[in-house]
Parts: sequence; structure tokens; C-alpha cells
Amino acid sequence: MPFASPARPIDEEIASLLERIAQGDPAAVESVYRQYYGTVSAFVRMQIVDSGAVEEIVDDVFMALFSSASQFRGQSAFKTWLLGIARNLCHNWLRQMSREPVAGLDVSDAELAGLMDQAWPALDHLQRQQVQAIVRLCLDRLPHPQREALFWVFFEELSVEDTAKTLACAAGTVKSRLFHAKAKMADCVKRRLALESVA
Amino acid sequence: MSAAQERFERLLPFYVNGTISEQDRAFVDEYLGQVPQAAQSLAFTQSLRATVKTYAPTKLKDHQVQNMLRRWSTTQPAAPFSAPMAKPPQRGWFSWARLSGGFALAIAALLVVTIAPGEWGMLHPDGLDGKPDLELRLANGVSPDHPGVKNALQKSNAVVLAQSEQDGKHSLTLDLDDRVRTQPTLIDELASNGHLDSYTLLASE
Repeated sequence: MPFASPARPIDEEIASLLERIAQGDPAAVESVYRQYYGTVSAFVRMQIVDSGAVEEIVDDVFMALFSSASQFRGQSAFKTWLLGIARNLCHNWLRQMSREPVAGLDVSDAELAGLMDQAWPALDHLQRQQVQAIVRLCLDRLPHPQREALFWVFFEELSVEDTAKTLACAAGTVKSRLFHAKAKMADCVKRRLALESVA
Repeated sequence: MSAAQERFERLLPFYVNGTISEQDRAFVDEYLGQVPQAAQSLAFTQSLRATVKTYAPTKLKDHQVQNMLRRWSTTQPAAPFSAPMAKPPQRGWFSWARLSGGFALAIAALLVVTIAPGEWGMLHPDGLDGKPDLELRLANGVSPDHPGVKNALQKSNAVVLAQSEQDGKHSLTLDLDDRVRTQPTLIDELASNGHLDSYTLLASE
């Protein structure tokens, strides 16, 4: 059951920017866009494979933010709120394209134990670009909750506690999602490496 | 899998991103020292983190910012119509000049509101009537089937009356419902996404 974050004082800078955006200040719009473009883009890219759609969705996220700037109440961190908008737009796009978001679920404990007991794929003999290509391919196959956990821990570099607050789940759930994600990634990478060695 | 291995695996992402507690770090370091194969798991986790980092986009370009500002500005209420007041004439004519100037402004405002923003001249009625309102010439390489184009047309409730292709560029002739509201938004959305080469307003023809 998700726990509610207590209301927190909104960061003064962001509060000021949101107020100016609500009043129609283009400088504030530009400031927020420049400041958060990278984070929103990375988040959407990890959810949506179609690169053409990514740019549209990113801009749609900001347009949604600008039109609802006065509605942010500080119940969560601003970035969490902003990426919540991004998550919803990603899911809407996936549904529109008749690709349901992968909710996912975790493999059974027995299957997981099997995956974890195997050797981890060795990637040091590959060039960096090869590694990235294979890992990205496998990451795109992960369920969306696991991708999101990877985003907060490896892109935003949050602690387990902060990730749990952001995702409104328990710390143990965060660890489980990452644990399952890594096991699936390892299995996927090994299959890809095996395919490529045969080709 | 042993309990120690499971604890190690669950802590590893936070060891790699540097947010792990000192106590847990000590456990992970000790495990790495005792179990040689654990180094492979660490290396794989580091590869995962490095790849996630590559999802960051390239540097934001100025034209992207300008496109966003342009798109945002179309959602802002227009500045109230105003014109510089004529310099008051000599005493005695002052009040009549202001009255006639104000009357002229009111007539102009009425024409703007009733005809359409920025459009002077006779326009055919708004609504889906089978008459062309807008011709779009899509950017090179963009087809009418592009998801961005289809999405924009759908949002605008546009009906495609005709389409053609010449030298690899596609043109669409559209009938718009609620032209006053949807036309600028449609044009701006396609332009800001780089899908539009040029357009022609047809409602006055």
C-alpha cells in the first residue's frame, strides 16, 4: 500500500518559477525547460523506444506542466510531480499505439534463483558501444516499474529510501525491483551475446 | 542462493551509485573480498548504470527552446487590444477627438472579434462544411501517416479533403472544425515538431 508523503515546503526557487509561469513569464518557462529537459528526456527515453515519439512526448510533458503550474502543491518533490506527468503521457502514448505498458511481473522465486545462480555475462571484451546497444535492447524489454526503478537509482542516483518515497513504495520493493531487473537483464544479455556469437 | 549473496545483490545498486550506508558498504566490501565471482556481478551492475546514464539527451539546442516558447505562447491570452491614443488636439476639440477615437477603436475591435483574429476580408463560415480551410505542405520526408502528423490532425478534428505528393513532399488540404481555435494550434504543433514546411490559409478564398 503506498504511503503518502507529508507535505513539504516547496523549494523557493521552483515555487517562484511556477508562480511566474502561471503569470505568463516566458523567462520562467525557458528556465524550467532548460533545467529539467535532460531529466524528462532520459525518463521518457527509458519508457518509449520510438525516438520520434520521445521528442513529442517530452514537449507535451512541459506543455502540461506550464498549463498546470499553479496546481503544484508540494505534496511531493517537484521532479517527482513532473515525472509523474511524464509517466502518464508515456502510458497514454503506449495505449494509443496499442502497446500496453508492461506492468510486469516478477519471475517466480525458483526461476529467479536459477537466473541468479548462473554466471554474470562478461562484457569487458566488447566495445563500449556494443555493450550499450545490447544493454539498451534488454532494458527496453523490462517491465516499466523496473525501468523506472533503474532510472531513479542509476540516472538520478537516489538512495533506496529516497527512491522508495518517490515511487511511493517500501524500500524492500525498490530492492526487489532492481534485483529482478538485473536478473532479467543478465539473462537477456547472455542470450544476445550467444546470438551474436553464432551470427 | 545464500542469504549473504542475496543481501549482496540487493545492496549492489546502491553501492555502485554511492548512496549506500557505511555499514552496508563494509558488508559489500567484505563479500567482494571473500567471493571472487562477486566481482562479475559488480562489473555487470556498473555496466547497467553506465548504460542508463547514456539516456541523457545531447545538449538542448536554442532552436528547441525557441520552438517550445513559441508553442507555449500560443496558449497565452492575447494582449488586450490597444492603440496609442492620438495626441489631444487643441483645447475645445479635446473631448470630441477622444470620443471619436474611442468609437473608431470599438468598431475595429468588433470587426476583429467577429471576423477572426488577424484576418481581414470575407471568410467562409467555420465548421466542417467540406470547404478547404488550410493547405499544409509537410517537411521533406514527413508523410501524412507520420504519428506526429496523424496525432495533430486528430486533435484538431481536421478532415483531409485532398492530399498530393510532389518531389517527395506531401501536401494536405484540410477542412477544420472550429477553425479559429484549432488552426493556429495545429500549425504551431506541426511547425514546432519540424513536420511542416509551409502552409496556406484558404478560408478567405
